[in-house]
Amino acid sequence: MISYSDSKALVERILSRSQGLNTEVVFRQQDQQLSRYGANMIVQSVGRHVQDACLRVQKDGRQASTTLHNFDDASIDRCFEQLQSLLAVSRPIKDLLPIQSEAQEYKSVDAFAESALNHSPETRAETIAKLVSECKEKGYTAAGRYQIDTLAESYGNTHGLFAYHPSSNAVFSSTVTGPNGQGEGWATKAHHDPSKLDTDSVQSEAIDIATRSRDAGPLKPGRYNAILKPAAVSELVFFLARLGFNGQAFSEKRSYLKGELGGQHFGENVTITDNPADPRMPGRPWDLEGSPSDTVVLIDQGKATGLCWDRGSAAAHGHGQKTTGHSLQQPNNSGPQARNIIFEGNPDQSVDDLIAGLDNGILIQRFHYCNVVNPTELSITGMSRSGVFQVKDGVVSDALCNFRFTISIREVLSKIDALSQAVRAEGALFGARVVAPALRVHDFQITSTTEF
Amino acid sequence: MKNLCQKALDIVRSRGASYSDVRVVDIRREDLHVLNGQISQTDFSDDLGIGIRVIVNGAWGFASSPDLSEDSITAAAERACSIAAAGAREPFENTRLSELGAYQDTWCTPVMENPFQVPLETRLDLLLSVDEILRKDEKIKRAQSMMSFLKEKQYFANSEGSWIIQEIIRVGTGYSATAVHDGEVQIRSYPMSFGGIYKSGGYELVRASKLLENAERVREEAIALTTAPVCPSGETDLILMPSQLCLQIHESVGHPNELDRVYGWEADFAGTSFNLTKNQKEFRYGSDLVNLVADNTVPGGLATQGYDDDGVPAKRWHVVQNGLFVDYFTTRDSAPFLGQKSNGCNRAQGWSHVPITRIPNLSLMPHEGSLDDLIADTKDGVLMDNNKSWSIDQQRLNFQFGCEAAWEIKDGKKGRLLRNPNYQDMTPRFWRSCDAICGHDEWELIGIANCGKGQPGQVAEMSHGCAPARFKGVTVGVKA
Repeated sequence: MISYSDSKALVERILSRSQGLNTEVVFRQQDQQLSRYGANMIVQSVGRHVQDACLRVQKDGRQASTTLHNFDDASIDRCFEQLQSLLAVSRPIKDLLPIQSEAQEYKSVDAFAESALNHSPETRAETIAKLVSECKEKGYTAAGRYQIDTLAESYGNTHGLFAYHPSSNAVFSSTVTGPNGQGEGWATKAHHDPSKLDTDSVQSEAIDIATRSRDAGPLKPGRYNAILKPAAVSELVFFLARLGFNGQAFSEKRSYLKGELGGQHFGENVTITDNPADPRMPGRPWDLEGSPSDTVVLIDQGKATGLCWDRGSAAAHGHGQKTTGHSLQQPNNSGPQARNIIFEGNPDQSVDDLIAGLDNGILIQRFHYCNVVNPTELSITGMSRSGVFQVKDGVVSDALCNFRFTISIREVLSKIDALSQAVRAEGALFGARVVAPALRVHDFQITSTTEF
Repeated sequence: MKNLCQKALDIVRSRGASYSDVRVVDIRREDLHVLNGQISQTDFSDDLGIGIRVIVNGAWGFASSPDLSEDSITAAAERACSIAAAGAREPFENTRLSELGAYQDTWCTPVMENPFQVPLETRLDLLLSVDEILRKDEKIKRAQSMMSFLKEKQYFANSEGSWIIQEIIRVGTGYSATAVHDGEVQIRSYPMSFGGIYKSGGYELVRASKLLENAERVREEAIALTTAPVCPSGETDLILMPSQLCLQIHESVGHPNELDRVYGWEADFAGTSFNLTKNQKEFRYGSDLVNLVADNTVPGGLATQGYDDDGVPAKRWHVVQNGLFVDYFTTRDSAPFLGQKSNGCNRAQGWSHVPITRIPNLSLMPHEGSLDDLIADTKDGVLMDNNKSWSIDQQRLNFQFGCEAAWEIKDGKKGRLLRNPNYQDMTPRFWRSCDAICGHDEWELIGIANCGKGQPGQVAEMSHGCAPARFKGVTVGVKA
């Protein structure tokens, strides 16, 4: 992985060839090592090395941007010539915000583990072989991935700012299916330090749920008391963040807040922050326009108290609003984005405690393929996956078929009866990655069902 | 380039690879985005690199690098082999490949007007003109438009003697208007949501897309939606316009018939499929009217090219014929499980990703009549246009789609505009309920440019042709 000094030298070399343009560079170098398995076979083994630099330039009130993939001097010069051509046809932008020039103080967040550099494909294959061997013995089939990523990100501009953030991430995930496709269990663990990844627990949990979820019985549409495990909660929080924490959408009155902060929109047991320094899920402590990322209290005991801003959306909003350091790559149409979401739980309660406190309801492992129904109502739809169980008198009992839900996130998060300890959780498909508790809620709406 | 690829093949053969292929891909991209009268994003970039795929002792390995120097290619080749060797062990089965001849060929997207030679000013003027029309009413808070050109030059060589050069050119353009009024937020897009329409070909496709001619209508429909009544709930006859039907085809016929999903290779992430191999040639997928054809030779298709990333020539075949399921989408390493040869569905995003099973161009064949005829023949129903939201279970059965706009149909006439429409059904029941499909004159080929799949995530492109069609007794208006 590229070091601080090599990254700085590369960014400075790019900036030195910027032909007098005010320039901003975001450089990324990523190495992905991955083994994917399915139907008890390894179906992909990949070593992927990519790097790019996103460039933004400004001149005389005009702006242009592009991506640079090759870093020899000739490629860099061609890239700036292209940017000059773009500037020449661009129109001046009213109130163009200049590239950041004020000195910034960047904190350091420990998100990188050396063990990520030494992880071998043999270790991945051995771990997967152990899981697959047990599955074959039981007549089960397994699919999943074992992935180790390292990422070096740096920001620099022609005003002398420079920031560097190395990170690593390890994920072991498994979906185990019982004989004849009956029953499905899923488990995943992720940690920024691969040496701390508990792969054995993934194996045992996925096989256990696959075993218990066979012979699923019917489930009727209706409203249920439900326990949502952290992976399921991660999907709700992911869509809440996408729809509700964006300062630009708030300012343009496109969000559920309809332009007003401070209201009690959720239950008093809901507190959500964005915090890159949380050790449970350390994140990049600066954003992609070179601003340090603040810790923002987004929901405080159910009240909408904070939002994520970048420099442009904050300036457009006015009222003295400052950036909170949540910019995506500039320029973009999307606005700022929460990246390090922490949904505080109850450290004194486990998921088992939530189950023990439920007289009659359902236990939901995770959701699949959620999507927005109505953004201003915070309503989404999606499917359950990998185990739905009846809970009676505080005990998990029969397996139930999967269902479709169509719910308002606001309504669900207003009907929380209990929370567990918050843990790092990974969602499905759209890449939700949050720290979240399990929730016990009432009146969870199931709108249609399946036969599996 | 041929020497470079051959060198990589030589290295991996000396490291024990029984099969190998090398792809050098050079991508030129020119993207322009306009937001509220200003250029908001541009990306004019080149991306060149190499991907090396090997089988060692029966196991796959893949490594990629952006660096085409001899040292880097050697390192990537050795890395691919060592990764493969690590996976060659008990209890895993050996990889098998379906038979394939060696091809020496070149293939290029037919282009009438090279999009990359169209002056930037011309492209920008068109987008800004559209933007101006969209923002003529202050209720439109966001007007977004875009134009995207991509040229992908691919060099493919494999250890079986193939050497294939392809040049694929794709263009995309479109816009949307977001109206905010009285606490309601509504969007209308043209020609398609999530960016616009995409095809393979040249700038002639932009010229034919009638961007300016439709901007005023799109603006007024977005505004009208903010005060339109909400789509009622219940069961009704549903007419889907091609802008939505294309995604219905994609999600409920495309993905469930990728053979890797059927076999469970994608079970942990994207999911599996209800359509198991025991169904082949026996399962009633749809009504007799339903004919779905895969065709990677169709002009303008986003997946239209000479060969896939296994080096398999493009072809055309029935997936569903007169309502009966016929065949899957396969690759060289999945087809042997069916005792078949690959039908050419292995594709990767760029050079840095490993190829995976991808939906080809997949179209619903036209039947007869016009849209006006279809509406006149509908006593009570809803017509929905342009996708806004999609969700489907992991076996691709229970789906729910939201659309930008709907119109009530009463006694054969198109009536009130309805906001926030959605519909929900189960895949086989839905396709079996199809009782009318319009004819050739209403048929459109629509590109899906953002199909995500795999881990790490890859984006692929494909097209779905269709004409407006009617489905009986569908649940609409699902509420939270």
